[in-house]
Amino acid sequence: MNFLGIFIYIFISVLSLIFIAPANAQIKDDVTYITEFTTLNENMAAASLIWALNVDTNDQSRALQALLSAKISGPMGAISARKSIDFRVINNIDLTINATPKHLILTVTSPKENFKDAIKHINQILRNTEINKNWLKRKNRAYEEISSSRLRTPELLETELTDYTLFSGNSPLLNKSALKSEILRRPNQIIFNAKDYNFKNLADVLMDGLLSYNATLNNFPKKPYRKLPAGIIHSSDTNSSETLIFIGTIKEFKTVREQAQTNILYKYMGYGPGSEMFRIIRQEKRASYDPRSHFTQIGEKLAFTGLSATVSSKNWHEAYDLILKIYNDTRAGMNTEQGLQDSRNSMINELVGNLRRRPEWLAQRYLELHPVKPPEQIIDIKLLNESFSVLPLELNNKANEILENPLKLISIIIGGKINPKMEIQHNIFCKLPPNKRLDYCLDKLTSG
Amino acid sequence: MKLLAYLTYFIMLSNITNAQTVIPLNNTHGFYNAYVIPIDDRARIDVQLVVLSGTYDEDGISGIAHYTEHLAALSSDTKVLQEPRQRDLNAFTSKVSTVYTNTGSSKEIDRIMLLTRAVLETPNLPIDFQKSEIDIVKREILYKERNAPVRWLNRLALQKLYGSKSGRADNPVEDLNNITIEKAMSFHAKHYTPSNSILIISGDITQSLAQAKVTEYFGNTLQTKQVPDLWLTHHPKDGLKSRTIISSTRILDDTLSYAKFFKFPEPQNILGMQASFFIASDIYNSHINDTLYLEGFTAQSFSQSSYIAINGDLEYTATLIPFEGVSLQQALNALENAIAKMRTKKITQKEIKTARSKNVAYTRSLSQSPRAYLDFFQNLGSDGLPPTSPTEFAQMIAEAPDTEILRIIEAFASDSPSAAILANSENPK
Repeated sequence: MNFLGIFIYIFISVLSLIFIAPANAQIKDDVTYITEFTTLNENMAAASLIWALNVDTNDQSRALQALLSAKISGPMGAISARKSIDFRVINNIDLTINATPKHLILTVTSPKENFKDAIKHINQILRNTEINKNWLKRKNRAYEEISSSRLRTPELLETELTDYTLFSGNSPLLNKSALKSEILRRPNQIIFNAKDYNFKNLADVLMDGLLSYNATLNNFPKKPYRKLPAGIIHSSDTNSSETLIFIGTIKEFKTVREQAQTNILYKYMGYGPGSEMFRIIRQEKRASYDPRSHFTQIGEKLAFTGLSATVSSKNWHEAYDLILKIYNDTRAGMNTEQGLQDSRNSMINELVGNLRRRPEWLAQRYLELHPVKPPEQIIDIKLLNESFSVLPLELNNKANEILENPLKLISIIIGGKINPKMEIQHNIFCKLPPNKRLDYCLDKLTSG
Repeated sequence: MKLLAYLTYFIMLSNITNAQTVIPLNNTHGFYNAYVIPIDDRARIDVQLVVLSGTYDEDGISGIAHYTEHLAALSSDTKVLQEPRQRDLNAFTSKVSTVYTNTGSSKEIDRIMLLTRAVLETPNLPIDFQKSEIDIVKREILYKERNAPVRWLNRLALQKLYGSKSGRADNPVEDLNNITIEKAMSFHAKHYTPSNSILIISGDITQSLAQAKVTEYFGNTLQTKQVPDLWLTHHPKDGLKSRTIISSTRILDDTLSYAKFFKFPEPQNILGMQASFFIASDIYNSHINDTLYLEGFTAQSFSQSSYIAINGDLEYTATLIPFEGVSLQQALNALENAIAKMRTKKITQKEIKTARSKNVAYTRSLSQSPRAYLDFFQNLGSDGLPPTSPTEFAQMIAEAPDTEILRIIEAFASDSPSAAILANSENPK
């Protein structure tokens, strides 16, 4: 049993900003823009290195991440992988890789007192041009995509649907040598984050000896994100004892306020033991261990949203109807004041936790707004202030507009027998053949 | 190099500081032990109730510790709270203990203590709800083992090692059909006593307030006998080398699960050994990891874990997914060779120093996560040992004698009983 909840109450305010206007709006690889934030916990410092790369396929994105991961994990000349790892453990240096269709991001975090050493270490890694082929094999395998229909977990489902949305192109994969050159050059942006810390000269240390040249992927055309279709996808399995149900969509918001409002309503429906999903699906109906909601920001005013639960295959359709009812009731504004207030607190706690402990999260939010270079005047991440100013009381009247019409949602069922009532709705139903990825049905439903 | 733009964006956040000392409470009333750990500037209080019984104490009824954990948590919820949304609870069952964590602000201390006290009271929930909770536990196991099938494989390896299914069931979901509410109540009555539990109160609280609250809420509890850990007497057969080959659709990749038991010939001062054990296990883990993963390419992925019981028994488990072109048997041979090599390997002063530094760094890193702090406190507590603060533990790491570290490595490398599960994936690639 794992009831979540972090209660940290803190004060946030935007104090000031300083800027120097950049020269032009094109990606120029001989220019590295530096931005500094001050949101991390007192003792920590972080740097996110950002390569601007337009990637339109999931395979290409995973290949790039695997390559960077192999570069980080493997030996560097005379320095063994063991020596590197021990150095990082002793100095509490943490490295994370993130990728979006426009950026590859490497974030290094460490205590402030070790941060200069961490930066030197990263420079060593970046300067190393040799990538061990066995490490690359290992990382390519580690980054292979696993279809959610194989393991039937909501986490994989979220990844699969998000990747489908974000990587909407079909450009051919770059060969290994071309890929390598994408990350052997200087990053296009660096974002530092620490409170009361002088980052002077650290950008120079970080980029010392790194070459500057135009990246191939910079010039690739950007593809718009792909909308998820509405309808029902069923990957049936008559032998399964369990069935995963998901109902949701990738939602684009008109405003960041609407994004914050939607986040609160999804938390109300399925975040924690007080939520409707937990209260009704688990505690009243005893139908599932893991009923929950999903709300993950994946772009500017764009989020993966939905409700999911793993239930008995025998009567999955009853749980399906219940989940839909929870959605419709919340959308109808039948929500308690206290519950909405608690859900708002959960959203704020999550936001604050991200700001204090996840520099890569803030880097992504910033890059969504300023993908090429910092703005000429103010960096204003409106999401922060808007999230704090949303009032729970305003939600019930607007829930009908905030939450998507249920006819526009996608339902995905993995496991169990097909419901004949759903199957006859030919125009919105797709049966997923065994060993096929969700793309098969998503494309089919999209084309109608 | 051109650095054209330099922007600063300030968002001020409050601090977390991390001073802490573990203070045993003078009057523990019925508890086996009770401690307070005041933490400066922590804006909340965490109360951890560690019931010193877990899945190894299941008396042949597989899953009953886990099921009882659910009943006790939900019953305390029902008794104390009007609104489940108020709840911030974490409860889990491990091999040797069951830990309940209740959290809130300092104003909520009475509610936190009431919730903690209610865990020790006979679960009181509607009968239908109690019965149907068995299905929820089944779904939880299925969910967790689908995400991490290695939990199942490790359990099988330990089952083969000890020749016992206690806490190491073949199929815990099916076994749950044998559980009755009566059996769970009986398990609760036997194990959920103050004298079989320790209490750790940490965060925004003083020693005197903690003592006052323990007296207020547990003052009427009496010392009784602690439940003996019968599983401590279960030892593998001398010379055991169990090898089992299975095939399954539950795993995506071929997987090797390995377990090894080793012990010292004479009783040990386990509390004093903890720091040496951390350093020693880091050294042998590193050697084996280097051979199979970092510098050799036997493993696609590799993880290791070691556990020292209160009587000095040591248990090592490893999980390995073979690297491309490596068979499960080759992986097992490589793992056993790597362990055997440790018998003659000379451990240098530099290695010991590095391992000490890594452990000290680990204790310092805890300050970044309130959850990590709590896990650290209950880690030693789960064996009935006094918890130590990260600061105190760093000192223990610094002082751990080299001779003891080397003695533990020698015991690990010895030719001792082992069991391996070689699991072939039947999943299509």
